[in-house]
Amino acid sequence: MKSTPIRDSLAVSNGWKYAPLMLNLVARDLKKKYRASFLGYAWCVLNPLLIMIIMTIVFSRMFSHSIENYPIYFFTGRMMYVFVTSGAGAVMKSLVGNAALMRKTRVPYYMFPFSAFLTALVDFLFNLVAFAIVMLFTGTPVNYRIIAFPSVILQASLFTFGFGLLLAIANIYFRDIQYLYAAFTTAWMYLTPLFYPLTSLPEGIQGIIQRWNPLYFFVEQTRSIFLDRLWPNNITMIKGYAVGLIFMALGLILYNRVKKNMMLYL
Amino acid sequence: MPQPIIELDHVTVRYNLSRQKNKGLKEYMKAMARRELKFQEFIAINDVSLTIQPGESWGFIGTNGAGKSTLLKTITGILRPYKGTVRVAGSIAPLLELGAGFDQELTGRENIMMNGLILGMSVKEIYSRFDEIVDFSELENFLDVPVKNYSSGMKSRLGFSIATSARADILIADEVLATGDTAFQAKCEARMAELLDGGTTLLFVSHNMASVQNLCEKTLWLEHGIYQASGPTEEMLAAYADYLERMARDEDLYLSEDEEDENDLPLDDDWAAEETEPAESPLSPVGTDNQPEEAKA
Repeated sequence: MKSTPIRDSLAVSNGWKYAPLMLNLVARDLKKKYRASFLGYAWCVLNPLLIMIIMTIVFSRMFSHSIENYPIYFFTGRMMYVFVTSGAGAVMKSLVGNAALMRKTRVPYYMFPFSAFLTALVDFLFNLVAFAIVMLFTGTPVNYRIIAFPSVILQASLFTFGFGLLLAIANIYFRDIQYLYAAFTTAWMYLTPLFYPLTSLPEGIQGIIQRWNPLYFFVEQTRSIFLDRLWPNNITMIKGYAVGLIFMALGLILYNRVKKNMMLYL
Repeated sequence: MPQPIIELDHVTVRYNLSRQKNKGLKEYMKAMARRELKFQEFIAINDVSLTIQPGESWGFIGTNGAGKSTLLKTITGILRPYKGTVRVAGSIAPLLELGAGFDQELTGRENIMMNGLILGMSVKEIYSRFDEIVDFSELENFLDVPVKNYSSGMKSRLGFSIATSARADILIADEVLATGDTAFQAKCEARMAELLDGGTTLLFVSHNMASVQNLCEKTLWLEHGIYQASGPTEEMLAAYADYLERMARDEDLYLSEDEEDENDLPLDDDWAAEETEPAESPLSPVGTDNQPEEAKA
């Protein structure tokens, strides 16, 4: 007779037993997001295109002297920003949001943050399709250095999941976190050169952003690859991996610490 | 003596009462400043031991708040014992609440897949038992309707059909038949009896004493989280009926003396409400009583 699976170890101790459920949870989230609309999944691609077009109309003239290829400049920034902030936001809500399910069934807890992250990753892939369309339309060439891009996605993924997990746990104890987060991401958007050039900021602030804003690491590398067609700066890349691994480690350590008593607060 | 399938050894379960949670940062800071940051605890199960052999059927009885559901959740592994140990040697299909594990936005068909996976079935098993699940629930015509539009009777039909087709070693049913109509209740009882014949272990919570009598050889009686007695169902039900009568008499006495102690008495209103929960027609018009999961959470 087999013994019961250990409910909430982060080690994927049951091998691939829960993989189909994971995929099902991802499919559920995507379905719920787009099912009600007339165009359905087309919105995954259309939405970023529309936003890019609006931003280009509004800002491209303003920054025309400093940014050459505004659509790509904006798109690269926004796509990394959306991946990190909406991904971490989805992970943040995943534990509290699935509390009803966690209280009544024996699904391992880690399924929820992880499937929320995977959903964000799928959204990001849709975004990449829109990005490819923009690249084609603007006639922006690519070279072989595009092979460095998966490494940027990996860094951003580590950071997003780790950061989201920290927020998710904090959110169990203080539900205020999810409201603060909305304000936080707005501030983060303005503190990252997404739609304006970094050089338009005062020099002191430029230095702070270059050194301390993790999102900037990912955006900067992406732009090196697609705008300058160069390898990402080594130091920026190391910083990107470092911040990703640190947040991932912190998230996992905290998760392992609280998982035993989490249910009492959910 | 075969190896027991479930073994509870001096299990105590502690809850954090809801006042503490959802407090928010500001309240938390205040409490911390005033050094009032204490764990407001509530002992839901107090030192309960129980051994269940494979293939046995156990009923769990007791008034509201006795700890029956908490005990089943602890066996399922959703709650951890604060003290003591729980050993389970087998797979469990828990049916802990009407429509638990259903996503209100998804259709019946999608929820069968989702719920099946949650119960630990493989995709292949779910496909091969799909027709069986649909047949038993009698919901052929509602498969592509979101579950939020199901009546509570329909949800309990679907939930029961999925959980029983998981063919787990242990089936846990917590007051899940209350919303089904009489015909469906009878059908469910027959299904559970069939599973019992096949060697499944059944843990069954109900306020319907006739169902407990029909299904369970043995019964555990809890009050206020404390073990009262366990043994053959018939004896337990008789003792429990005596207890209820005594409580009702005591309450009359209290009321007449006008010194009612609300803490000591079972909540009679709740009890009555549970007993007379209306059996819903499974084919009632859609959208009549959708209770969004969020609202309950």
